[in-house]
Amino acid sequence: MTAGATRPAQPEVLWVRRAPSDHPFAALAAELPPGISVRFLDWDEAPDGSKRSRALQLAKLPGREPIAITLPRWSAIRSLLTAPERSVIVNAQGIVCFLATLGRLRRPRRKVISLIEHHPQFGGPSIHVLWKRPIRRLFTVGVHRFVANTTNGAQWLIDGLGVSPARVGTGWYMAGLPEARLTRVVRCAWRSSARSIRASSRWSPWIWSPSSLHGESRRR
Amino acid sequence: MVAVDLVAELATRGITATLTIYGRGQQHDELARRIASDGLGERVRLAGFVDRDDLAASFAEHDLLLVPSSEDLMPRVACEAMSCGLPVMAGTMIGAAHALIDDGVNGLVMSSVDAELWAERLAGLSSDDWARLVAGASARGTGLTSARCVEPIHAALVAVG
Repeated sequence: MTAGATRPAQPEVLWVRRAPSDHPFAALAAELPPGISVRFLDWDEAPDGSKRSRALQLAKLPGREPIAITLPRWSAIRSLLTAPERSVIVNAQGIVCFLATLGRLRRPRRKVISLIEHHPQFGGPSIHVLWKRPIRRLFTVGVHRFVANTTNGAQWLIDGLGVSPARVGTGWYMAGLPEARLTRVVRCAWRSSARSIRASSRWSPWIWSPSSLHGESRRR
Repeated sequence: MVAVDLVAELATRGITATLTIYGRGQQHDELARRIASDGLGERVRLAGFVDRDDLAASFAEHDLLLVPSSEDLMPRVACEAMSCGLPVMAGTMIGAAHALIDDGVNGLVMSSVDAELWAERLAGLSSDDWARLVAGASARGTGLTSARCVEPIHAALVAVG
């Protein structure tokens, strides 16, 4: 057996996510076929809770979320540029995705896959900043393959950023809770709902506010 | 705040609803004052953060997930709730709304985030409507397992070699 035929010691896939609280990705990675090993790189918040990025506020509009960009700190940038993995999955489209593609200068065989959740028109006022689209268009150049969670997301890539349809795959990848918890909960939810329906107008809504998680993502 | 308005609006229609708000955001103190001043303490609970391991149990204690955000790309909690068979009510400003929720089948999609409109919609639901929503949410949830959702990502890995 030659050295080249042996499985490399390092993980094959680097999965770049914002923070360890992006737990659906850990569950997804665990479902990849045996033999594909994954290492996670958290560019915004390290596993120990320390910040690996800096938020730069560009403008504040009354009654809306501020227009801001989040820049990874040097330690995260260096980790991303020097990562030895051959394939990189990035759950981002902006500067982090660009940095992942820049890593190809050091490792020309690196393949970059970018995950697109949805059409960014729903993402807040930042998307409407005029200079963002041409920059994002530039950032897509080095990406080998996009995976769009929805057809709207795919359409944004093709029509909005000029990505070739051949480089865009569409398929729902946003998973719910891990299956181990699912059976128990579905059973409970059914029971709960049946009880409330019998009580006709008595029910219990449950609310979650996305803005409430900023800076506290590990505690969820 | 819209959700608190919703509970108050439902009360005026003779419907008793309880609301649990999870997380902690910039509006926390304002919410707490509002709940106290309006005497909604028995109906609205500020529960703070829920541990990830307790998330499933929290879903099980409720009958509906409200996502009254004015903008959000893809709220993961909506996927998590749906995977647990919990219907989701959201506005069209939520990116996931049309992709994840089939209005009247597995959740409710509203054209705006307005407490009065949402209350009117909820007040008009019959027992059969509720049963259909829960069944639809459970059915949709089966497509949100990690084993299924990893397939497009695996396909991309194969495609790039």
